Parts: sequence; structure tokens; C-alpha cells
Amino acid sequence: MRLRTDRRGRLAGFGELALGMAVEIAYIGAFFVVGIVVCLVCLAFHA
Amino acid sequence: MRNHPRKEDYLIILSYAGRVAIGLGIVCVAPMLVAIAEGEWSVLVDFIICAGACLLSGALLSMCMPDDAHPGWLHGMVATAVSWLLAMVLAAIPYALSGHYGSYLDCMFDAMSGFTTTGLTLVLDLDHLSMALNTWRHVITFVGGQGVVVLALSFLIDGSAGSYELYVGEGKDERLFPSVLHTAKAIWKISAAYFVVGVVALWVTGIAIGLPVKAAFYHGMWIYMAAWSTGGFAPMSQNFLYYHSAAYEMVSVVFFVAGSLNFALHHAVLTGSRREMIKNIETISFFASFVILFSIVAAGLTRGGVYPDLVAMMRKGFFQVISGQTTTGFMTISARQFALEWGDLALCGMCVAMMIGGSAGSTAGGIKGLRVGALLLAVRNDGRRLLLPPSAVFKKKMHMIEDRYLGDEQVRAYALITVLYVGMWVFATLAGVAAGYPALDAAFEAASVTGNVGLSIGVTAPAMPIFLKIVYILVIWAGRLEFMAILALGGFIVSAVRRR
Repeated sequence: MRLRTDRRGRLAGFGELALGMAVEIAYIGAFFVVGIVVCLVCLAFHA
Repeated sequence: MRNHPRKEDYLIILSYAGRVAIGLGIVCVAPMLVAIAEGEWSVLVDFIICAGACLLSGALLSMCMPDDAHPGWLHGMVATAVSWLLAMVLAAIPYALSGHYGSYLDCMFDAMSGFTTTGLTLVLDLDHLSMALNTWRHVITFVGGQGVVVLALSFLIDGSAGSYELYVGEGKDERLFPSVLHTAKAIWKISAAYFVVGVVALWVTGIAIGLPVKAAFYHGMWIYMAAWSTGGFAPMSQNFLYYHSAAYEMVSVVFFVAGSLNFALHHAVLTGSRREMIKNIETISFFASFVILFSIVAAGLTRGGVYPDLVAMMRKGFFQVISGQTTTGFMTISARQFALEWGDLALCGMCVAMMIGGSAGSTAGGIKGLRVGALLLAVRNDGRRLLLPPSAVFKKKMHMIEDRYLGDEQVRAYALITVLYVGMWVFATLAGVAAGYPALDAAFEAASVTGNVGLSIGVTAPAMPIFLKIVYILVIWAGRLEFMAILALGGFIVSAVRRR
């Protein structure tokens, strides 16, 4: 799916903006996931 | 510009610095509005004085521009370095008038710390600061994150000759559009879009954790501005410990990680190139280095039995590492807990994380993920060159918004900046040790100031030696401008002195 983009490269419509932010937040969410996994592994080894 | 600066060169530089001062005067409107809304009349007078000083000095300096001026590369670079110093002196006025600082040097330290999005502070009795002054601290952090010069470019400079040099001098070399003027405006649009989302998210979270509605709004706005600009200032002396809320911490993580991403990446993703998020060398480098460094810190913390469960590890260990690597500097532990509880391995991991920092062309400081990623690619390429036959041909490229050739010149430039960062860190560490602090404490604080982070192990305090305050001001200034503008200013001063 590709929503309409401005030909001049400006920030496009609200849908595009919201979808872009959602992708960025999903990337940031990956840090939480990997953080939890690393913590669990370290705590398991320590135990 | 000739080998020896002429009167025209000084006038061009002062003229550009004047426009930045005018921009700062206009920014004073934000805390003025808060002062009026909260009935803080004496503080309003402080900001009227500050705005008057900014606008008057700015107007006088702006008139210096010669009619037949031909601004060049060196003018832009030197003007950027001078502009930041001028902004520091002017922005310190409300701090000095507030009576919350021990000296004007401490005020300038806080102003430079704000503009460079460092977040270290020498304020006395932070918990009783006026609302307007707290707004000022966070507004200058927000403006500094986008770039003081970007502000002037957006509204006061017409994007003609010299504007690109000003932009590059501020440590931003990525243009979103062919026109640097459009680029500066796009940076503000991206920040404005996130501003709305961020303030609302933190406001709602603040209300949910029990803050009164008005306080939740102010805290949400301040924390958002500090988070997006990877600044690290917080309105209370306990920093993030004040909130005692995992939800508030995690929501803020979203915005300071977003702030540490390249504006060019934001622009690409927000305008439809969403796959860029997983292809970009900076996002890959940032994620990979975080995994490695957090593993090191987590190993150190669990070995010492510092945090016994997952929740504590996430809220203390994870939060500090991601806050450090994005160069934000929010803390959910007290400064001395680093020194007394964390242990050497975890602190070494933190130092490396703070030195690497966020993305180039973002609000973050540090060496930057782009340079680290590119240098690792160069090492891989050289390794392949040794292993493959001499006649073998392989592509030397990296992906950042588009595929780019990773030539020797590019690698040399990245390596040079990296060496300068490490050299600056060594210098700041030695200064800390000379001031009588333990080596590991000095190294940690030095990594924090070099990378414009703001995490503190307890060295930065109003009582620290004056020479160390000056060293830290110079280091955070040089680190934020990524050295080029500072080197240009140094060369300019040397050539001016030699003439005499």
C-alpha cells in the first residue's frame, strides 16, 4: 500500500504522516523487545 | 576570505550572529506568555530585559552587513561558532536575574547546556523555579536541538549566500531539499508534528499518574521539549525519579528515541519511504550498537546483583542506557547510584554508549551512528580486500536515504571527526582528574559532556572548580558543533592575530 505523496517532497497528508509515525514507533518498540530479552537472559544466567 | 581577515569579514560574521540574536529575542515570547498566564510579573520583567538585550544587540549587529558582501564558507562556519557563544551569553540573562545561580558563569553553563541539548545543570533549588524560567530552560533546549542557526535560517535569513555554510557549521550536513531554507523549514514542520503528538501523549499520561491537569500539561510540554531535543532537562531536581511511573518513562522513551533519529530519515519515512526505517545505515547501526552495549551493561548490573528483577532492570538499566545512547540524559536513578552501585563494567558500557550517541542530522550528540556504521563498513571492506584476489571488484557503498559511495575520502572524514571526539573525551577526562575526581567518575562525566548527554555521576555541581566549568562549556560547545565551526573560528583568530 502506498498513499499519495507530494511531488515536491513536502510532508504529505495526515494519513501518510500517521502511518510514518506508526512505523517509527514500531522501530522504537523493537528496542523495548530486545531490552526485555536481554534482561531475561542476563537474569536467567545470574540465577 | 583572504589569508588575513579584513573589516568586511568581521562585519559579515557579526551580521549573521546578530540575526541569531534577534531570533533568540523572538523566542523570549514563549516564557513571557507563561509568565503572564501564571501571574509571574517579576519574572516577566526579567524576560523583557532579556528580549530587549537580544533584539537591540541583534539589530545593531545585523546592520553591520556590508552592501557588497560576499559571504563564503569560512564566514558561515565562524559565524555559527560565534552565534552559539553570543546566544549563550544572552540566554543566561534571565537565569542571572532569577537569583537561582551562584554566578554568571553558572548561568552561561546552563544556557550552553540547554542549547547543546546536554542537560547538565548548575541551578540552585530547581524545585522552586518559576514556571516561566522552567519554560525558558526547555524552550532553549528545544530550539538548540533543531539548531540555533536553523531557527535563524527558517525565519530571518533569506537562504542566500552563506546560509548553507551556517547550516553545515551547526553539525547538520544533510539537506532534505536542494534549498537549505526549505530544509530548515521542513525540520521545524517535522518537530511541530511530533510536538502535538508528544505533548498530548505526555499530558494524558501525566493526568493518568495523578498530576493535576494544569501541572500535567506544563510537565508534558517541558518533558516533550527535552525529550525530542534529546536534552535531558527536567522541571524537578529528582529528574525522572520525580514521576515514579513506568508509563511516563516509557512514553518519554518513544519521543527521545524519535528525536535522536536523523531529520532526513523522518522526512523520508513520513513522506512514504517507510522501508527506509530498516534499510538505513544509521537505524541499523543504532539498533545493533544498542543491543551490544545494553547486553554489556545488563551483564554488569546482574553480576553485581544491582537490580534483581525484570521491571527494575528495565526501568533503571534499560532506561539509563537508551537515555545515554540517544544523548538525552533523563535519569531514573540518582547520580551517586552510578558511582556506588553500578560497577565498572556497566559504567564502561555507559561511557561507550554516550560517546556513540544518536544519528547525524538529528538533535542528538556524540560520534553518531552514521560514522560508527560507516567506519565498520570500511573495516569490512578492507578485510575483504585482503582476503580476495587483487583483481576482485566489490561495491563500496552504504545506504542512507539513497545508496551512497563509501570512498576513502568519506571514510577519512568520518575517522577524523571520530578521532576528534575521542581526543576531546580524553581532554575532558584529564581535566576532571586534575580537578581531583576519581578517574572513572571523570571519564563518565567527560563522556556525558563530550556526547552532549547530560547523565551525571555527581561531578557536575555548583561547587565544582571554575576551570572545570569552563572546560565543560567548551567541550559541549565543540561537541555539538562537531568541531568544524570551532576549528574555523580557531583558524580565523590565529590569522587575525598573525596580521598584527
